[in-house]
Amino acid sequence: MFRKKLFREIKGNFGQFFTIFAMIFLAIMAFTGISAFSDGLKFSSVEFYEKNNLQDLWLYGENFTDDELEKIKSLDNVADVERYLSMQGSVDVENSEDSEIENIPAELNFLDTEDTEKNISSLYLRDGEDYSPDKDGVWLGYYFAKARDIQVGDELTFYIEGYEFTEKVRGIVSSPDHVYTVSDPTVIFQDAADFGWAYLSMKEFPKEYLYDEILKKMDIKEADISDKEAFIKAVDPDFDIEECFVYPNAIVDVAGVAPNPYIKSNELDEFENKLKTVKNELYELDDTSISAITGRDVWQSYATLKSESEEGDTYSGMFTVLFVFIAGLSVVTTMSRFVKKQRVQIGTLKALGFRNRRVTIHYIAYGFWVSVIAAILGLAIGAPLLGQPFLNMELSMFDLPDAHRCVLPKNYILAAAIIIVITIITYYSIKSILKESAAQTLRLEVPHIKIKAKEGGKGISAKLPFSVKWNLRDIFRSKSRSIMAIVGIMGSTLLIVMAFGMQDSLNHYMEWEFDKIQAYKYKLTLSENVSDDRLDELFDTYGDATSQTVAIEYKDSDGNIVTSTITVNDSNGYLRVSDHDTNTYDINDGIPGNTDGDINKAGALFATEKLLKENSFSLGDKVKWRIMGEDDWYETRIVAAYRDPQSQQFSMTRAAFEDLGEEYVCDTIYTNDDLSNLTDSDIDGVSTISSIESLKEQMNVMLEMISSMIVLLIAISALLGFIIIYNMGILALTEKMYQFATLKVLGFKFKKLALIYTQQNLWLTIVGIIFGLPLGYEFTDCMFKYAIGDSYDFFANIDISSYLIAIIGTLIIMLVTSIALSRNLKKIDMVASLKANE
Amino acid sequence: MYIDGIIDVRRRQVNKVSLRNVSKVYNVGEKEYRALDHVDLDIEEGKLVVILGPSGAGKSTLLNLIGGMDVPTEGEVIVNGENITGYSENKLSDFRAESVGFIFQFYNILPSLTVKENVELINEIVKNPLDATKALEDVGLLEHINKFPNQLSGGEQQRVSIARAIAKNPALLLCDEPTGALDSQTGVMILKILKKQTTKERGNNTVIIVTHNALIADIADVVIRVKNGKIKSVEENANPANIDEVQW
Repeated sequence: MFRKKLFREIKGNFGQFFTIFAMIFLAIMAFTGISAFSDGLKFSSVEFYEKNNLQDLWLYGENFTDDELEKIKSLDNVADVERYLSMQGSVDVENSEDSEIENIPAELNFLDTEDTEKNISSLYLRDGEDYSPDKDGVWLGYYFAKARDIQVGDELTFYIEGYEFTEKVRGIVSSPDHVYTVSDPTVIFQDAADFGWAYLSMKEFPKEYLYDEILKKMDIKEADISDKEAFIKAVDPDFDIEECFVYPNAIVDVAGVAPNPYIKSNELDEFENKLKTVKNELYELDDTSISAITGRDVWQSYATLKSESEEGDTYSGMFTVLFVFIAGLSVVTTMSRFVKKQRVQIGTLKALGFRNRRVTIHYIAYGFWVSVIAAILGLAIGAPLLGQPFLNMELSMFDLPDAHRCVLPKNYILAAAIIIVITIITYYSIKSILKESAAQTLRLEVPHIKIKAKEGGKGISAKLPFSVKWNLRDIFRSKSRSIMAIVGIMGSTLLIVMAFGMQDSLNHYMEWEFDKIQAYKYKLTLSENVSDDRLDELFDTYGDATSQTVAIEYKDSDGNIVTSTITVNDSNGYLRVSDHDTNTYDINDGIPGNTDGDINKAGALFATEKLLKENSFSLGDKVKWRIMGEDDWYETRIVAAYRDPQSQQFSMTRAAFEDLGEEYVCDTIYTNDDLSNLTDSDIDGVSTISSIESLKEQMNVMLEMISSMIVLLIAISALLGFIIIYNMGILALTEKMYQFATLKVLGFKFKKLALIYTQQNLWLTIVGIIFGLPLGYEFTDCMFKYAIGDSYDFFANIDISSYLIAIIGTLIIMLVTSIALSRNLKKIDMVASLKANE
Repeated sequence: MYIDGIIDVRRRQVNKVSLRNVSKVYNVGEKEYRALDHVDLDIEEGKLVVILGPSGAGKSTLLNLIGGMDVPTEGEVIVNGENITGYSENKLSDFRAESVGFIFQFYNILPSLTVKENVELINEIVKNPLDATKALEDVGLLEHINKFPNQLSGGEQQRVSIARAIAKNPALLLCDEPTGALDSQTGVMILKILKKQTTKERGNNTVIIVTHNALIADIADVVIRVKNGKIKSVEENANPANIDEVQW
């Protein structure tokens, strides 16, 4: 019988129960959707890394010989090691729009001819044939091939420092160490069509390049020789070109499978320790050319994917808290309304002799079943509906084969927890009514007002207009309803501030990074072997604003060796350093108010504020560091703290660097000349030309992805907020209906009643806005601090216009709701309302 | 001011109620429920009228139609020669504000306003209302004017409701079971106050009391009996009883 009642009541109060259903469904769907994509990214990558054996360590040296490889392999915990040569080059591709040939930068990885199989970071074949060192041709990165419509069998012309060679595309592949690749570390979002990577056998390395190097060593001008190979063989009859192959890169597979880095475990700690041991053992190896060793965390492909998938945790955590909170509020308000309407029925059931337990179970069933259905649907739909589009968005950046969504037990646990919370809320909605006697319950509830010991209507309150007095007292006497209304409005304001605030903050970040810090129009990245003469010519043409990026290792406060970089800045103010408040300065001027010591003293370091904080360093502290590959450690003072939104590292003036006795070899020239008509290969000695505008565009592409995700989530949250405000409005109206009916009987007109009703809503809205605005800022700031990767130092920077939009937006929501609800005042049946009260 | 015996002439023009062929039909599901069935009635000014009848007879419906709280399904309600049947919502509000005072069984005073503020509420809708303090003094509540309703007894709350009604100095005072929730002694006090409103001193107001308590009929100038939505009888009481003698 009760079951029939349950179904019929739900049907009869469809709107209210649908609200509860929608709240829970949206909350669980949002959480499941976000975590399905972020956990999907995590687990898909862990699976891919494990299946295709991503290297655990990267070794850098001059040339890893067979003997060195054997020594490394002989270490206890080293399972395998492979060597290769990685070089920046370029490839000619046809532009699909105008069929013009474009020269596109490409990373070319020449693999050891002696490795019959590529076991570490083995290639995932998308199309074509498996890699073999004996095969000619090239195995091209999948995303680049797709973006440029390159097929297996196509012939491509490659260039390495001016040497041209042609290769047939044998395979199109993905690789675990190339899930995310960029042409330049400053590139934020790589357009797949503008940068390629490829693997090929060292046998395919342009021989002319090697011959010229040999002839250079012989001090012979290569231009005079027509057949270089014959000439060299004539000089050295035992000449074997394979002996000239150079492998400055090596990758190491440490014994055992790397545990899932996203789950804290003893195995993970043990593996980390094992890595440390292997690293130390490698450094201690005699007669090896190892200059630096890095792990997965500093490998851009790995680190970027990791940080991107961890961003999802912050989003899902933050939004779930908001959603569940708002959903909870909504259920409280909706169930309260429902139970109020059911008073007489509850009283009747009690009067008939039903025990409280039976009645409780019946009413709990409303919240329970609605939330069970909503939770099941949210769990089922969240992943495909939200998770998949988010995952697809991420996969436009990450070349991750077999990437899939992932719904983990935590999602089911959260859904179960929400059902329990809703059931408890339902129980509390009915608890107070059940405490009453059947007779009390059978009488409709008169607004509960505590008898005040004090009298009223004196002092200031005596002078207040009726509507003000009435509304003020109503607010204070219905504290829980008023607080819930304020919280609902606060949530709504907060979400609007967040939606617009994130856009503002990102715009400010763009301005800070690309107008104020990178205060140039073009950046020329120099080729590795550019001659001094050519460099002088370049300075004459484009100016001598330069910088050098020096890879370093430093010891953090725990003594761990951490990889970082020092930008030796001699850019004449083109590459500027920023203070905490985003004012920027020429590095030679120091950071006003945040400089302690001589900035040009030998080794005087500038460090970013976030790096200082994360390492517990302070201005004036000494840091031990060394240039990657060198044995000697420097111990120099941090003389200035600056702020950088996208890379946490060190900087130094050229004078301070040279004072250490180090040679300044610039690798970048900054200029304001217009180079829009030039391509990378147009300037001899320059490997890439990057315009600040193109960097901005790349950033915009990435920000659009982030924005669309956030806007979608915020739209859902705002909808929840709207429902809360609507529910609160109805609750307030229902509670006060008999008072409004009395006023109407007395002769108050609709307009006056609507004004009284709206006045209270307006006040609550204003209070909600007052709390919501700063909270909106804090949430946005929090989102930037924790959701975006560790290398970033973003903060909320919200324009006044956004706050105004939030204020106006919330007021409009309130006004629309109030107007919609105040229509009920017009329809008040005075007789029925007053009789009901009796 | 009526306390001083000065009558507001504007209000004297509304003092006679006429119902012509009035019916009120409610639709309950597919069935019709006829609360009033072709009722004709005239009530003169300055009278204390008691409408008697069992539950569901149509007493309250009659009162609500006279007070402009409800509209008839057919027929005309004429108050002081004005047919209020066709009034708009706003005009009905004006009518209730200026000409009618309501008193209910459960008082219907606003719990978040003090006693005095509940009466002063009238200032919001009537241009020249009577002084709230004097109205409260008249119903014997002067010492309670700054209390909130929940600090008062039922009888005191009903007196607040009367003070609020008479502060408008309405030509029509409509009371729906005004003593229904009160003990006999308090009820008598309330009836005295109501009766006083019909005196010349108070401006010959018409007071209509709906009740199912036949004992109250003894004090009335006119007793109207209602049954099944029809007027069964209208009796003039030449010698109304002294209110102090009424007991229930």
